[in-house]
Amino acid sequence: MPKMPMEIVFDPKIFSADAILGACHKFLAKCFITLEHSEDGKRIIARLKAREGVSVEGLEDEFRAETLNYAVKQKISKGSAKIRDQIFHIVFNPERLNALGGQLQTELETKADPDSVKLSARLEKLLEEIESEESMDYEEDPLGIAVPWEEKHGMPGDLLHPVDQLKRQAENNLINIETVKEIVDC
Amino acid sequence: MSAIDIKKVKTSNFSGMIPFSFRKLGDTYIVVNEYGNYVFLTEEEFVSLVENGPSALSRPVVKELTAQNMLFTKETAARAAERLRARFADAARATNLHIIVPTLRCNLRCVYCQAAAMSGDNYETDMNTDTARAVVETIFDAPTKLLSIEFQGGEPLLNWDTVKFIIEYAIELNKTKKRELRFNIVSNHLLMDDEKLDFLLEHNVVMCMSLDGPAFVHDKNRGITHDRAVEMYKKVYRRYKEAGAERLPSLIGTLSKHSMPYHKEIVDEYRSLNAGSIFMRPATTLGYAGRNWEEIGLTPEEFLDFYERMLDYIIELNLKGERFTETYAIYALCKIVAGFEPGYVDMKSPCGASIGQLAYNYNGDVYTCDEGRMLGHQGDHTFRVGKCGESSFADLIMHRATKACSIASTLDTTPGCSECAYRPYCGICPVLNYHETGELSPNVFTTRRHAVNEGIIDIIFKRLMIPEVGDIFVQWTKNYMESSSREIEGAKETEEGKAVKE
Repeated sequence: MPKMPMEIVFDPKIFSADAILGACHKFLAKCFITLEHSEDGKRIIARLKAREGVSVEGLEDEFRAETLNYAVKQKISKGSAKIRDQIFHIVFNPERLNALGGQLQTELETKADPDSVKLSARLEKLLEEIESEESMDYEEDPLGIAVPWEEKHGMPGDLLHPVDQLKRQAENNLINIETVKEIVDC
Repeated sequence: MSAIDIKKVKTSNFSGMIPFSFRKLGDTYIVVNEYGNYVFLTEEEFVSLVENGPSALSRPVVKELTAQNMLFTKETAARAAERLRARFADAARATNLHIIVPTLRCNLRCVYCQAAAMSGDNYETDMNTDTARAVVETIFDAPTKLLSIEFQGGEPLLNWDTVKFIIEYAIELNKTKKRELRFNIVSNHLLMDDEKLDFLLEHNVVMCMSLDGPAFVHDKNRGITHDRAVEMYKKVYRRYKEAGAERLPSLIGTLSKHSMPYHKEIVDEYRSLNAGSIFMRPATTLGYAGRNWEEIGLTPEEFLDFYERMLDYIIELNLKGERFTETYAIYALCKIVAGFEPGYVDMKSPCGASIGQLAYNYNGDVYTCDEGRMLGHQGDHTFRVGKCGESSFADLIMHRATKACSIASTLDTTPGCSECAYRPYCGICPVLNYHETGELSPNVFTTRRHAVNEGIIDIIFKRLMIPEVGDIFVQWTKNYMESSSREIEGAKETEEGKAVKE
């Protein structure tokens, strides 16, 4: 049985205070939590005391995993923040879309840090290959992307049938259907 | 523990990606972009994605990520914007669901009654004609083409004259207002007679009856009324069908502890009545339910256990060729599979409080929603936004309770929700939060709604991983969207509405 309160120590250079706070927020329903710096100020110490009726088994692992999840989610959010902004621009002003790949791309690159927005050369090449394989002429809008779904009176243009999605993933050995079936006893 | 090495996770890995979040279910990572597209990845693929960025992934995975709008290109940006626009379109429209309580009286005394209904002789809780007139005029003040008026209670048929007056007066006003007018009535049907039925049918009023399952479940919750209710429902259903009504009567049920072992029996009862679908909601802590909670209330875990058994039974029926659907799943699937907002006010962000629905009490008081009205009946008028005859539609929408509910139910800014993979599909209820915790925005992880919604979406995603079940789910979604397309068309703003806004 783990000793209470359990102490979990984080290196703030690796796990930001926000990531630790995010995990704490989620765990407040299960534990009483205190946070403080170590004496040398180089570590953050989380002390967890399980609430009544909450199993302490695996609590530390769960808390560490949740902190890691928050840390990853923060990096994703930060890394893709400029794209989020651009999509909001497009929602309110569809004309913005036409600037993508041209003026807007340049604008983004000059405003952003050097890594931002630009896909890596390898990824761009891959996408080009996939595009040419599928003979997609986006200028002609063969998928009807620019047509709002309300006007189509049917399924939206971006609908991908989950079965097709699964089949394609299975064909490409991305998922193991048998494993998936084991997860769901249905 | 995940094998992710956080030191390798750089923000620049995601600079070419549409913003996304993730959730692990079993050995599979569900990666969901902010606009609701999803992809299943193995742990190995997911770790590679976050540690090295998409460029390190194999070609098939990149293809999959592209197909699911995860990588930023002109096309995916357009699709993401389209989904985002669809998701928030409702919030930009004026309120189109108007719930009227013509009386608080009820001829039943259900163990979980959220409405805290009064006994049959409390006539002072009947809406009078003057108030009814003011309610209809307030409703027509909403600048939207579609106006859907729903009668709830108490038992609405107990104040039949007012129900009739409201329908007739609304139709009269509509001769000049030219809206698309719809009427619904949620009733226990026990007081239905030929005169009422003729009137309701003539005015295209859509009927919805409460039914909790077979007699041994229903009667335990609602008193000995099952057989009479079913008899009346069959009669109403037959008359609507013979008349070629566009929308046939439907059923809605509530779950209590008594219902737990009977998922099959409840579904079978609905099937025997040709219902075609089932929508069983858990009792909430509002009204009498709160007083009887120990005896009748469900924990989120109990509800989810029931829901999973019920859904699997329905899937089993579908796999055998029967078409029968489950409504919670349809609402979630519309968002997951199609990026379509079904307008279910309990799973929306922001929620439907005032902007999606308004509730009119018997005395003309207007509340953000029916839950807000129920709380008002318990003496807390936090969610009262105005009074018919005194407040304009603008007053109701600009009321601080409306604004507070919209802010408190916007998941994009709610701690715990803003990072969640299920954000594009979910919703929270500030009124229930306030009732249960005393706060509009409590820690979501402590709320019942969070546990229930997360659990339902987990259950649905697990089944989406099974190809043949995915097929069924897509068919449900398509059928629902087709039947809803006219309503969505009708919800577009009127010229009058645009002028009001300007």
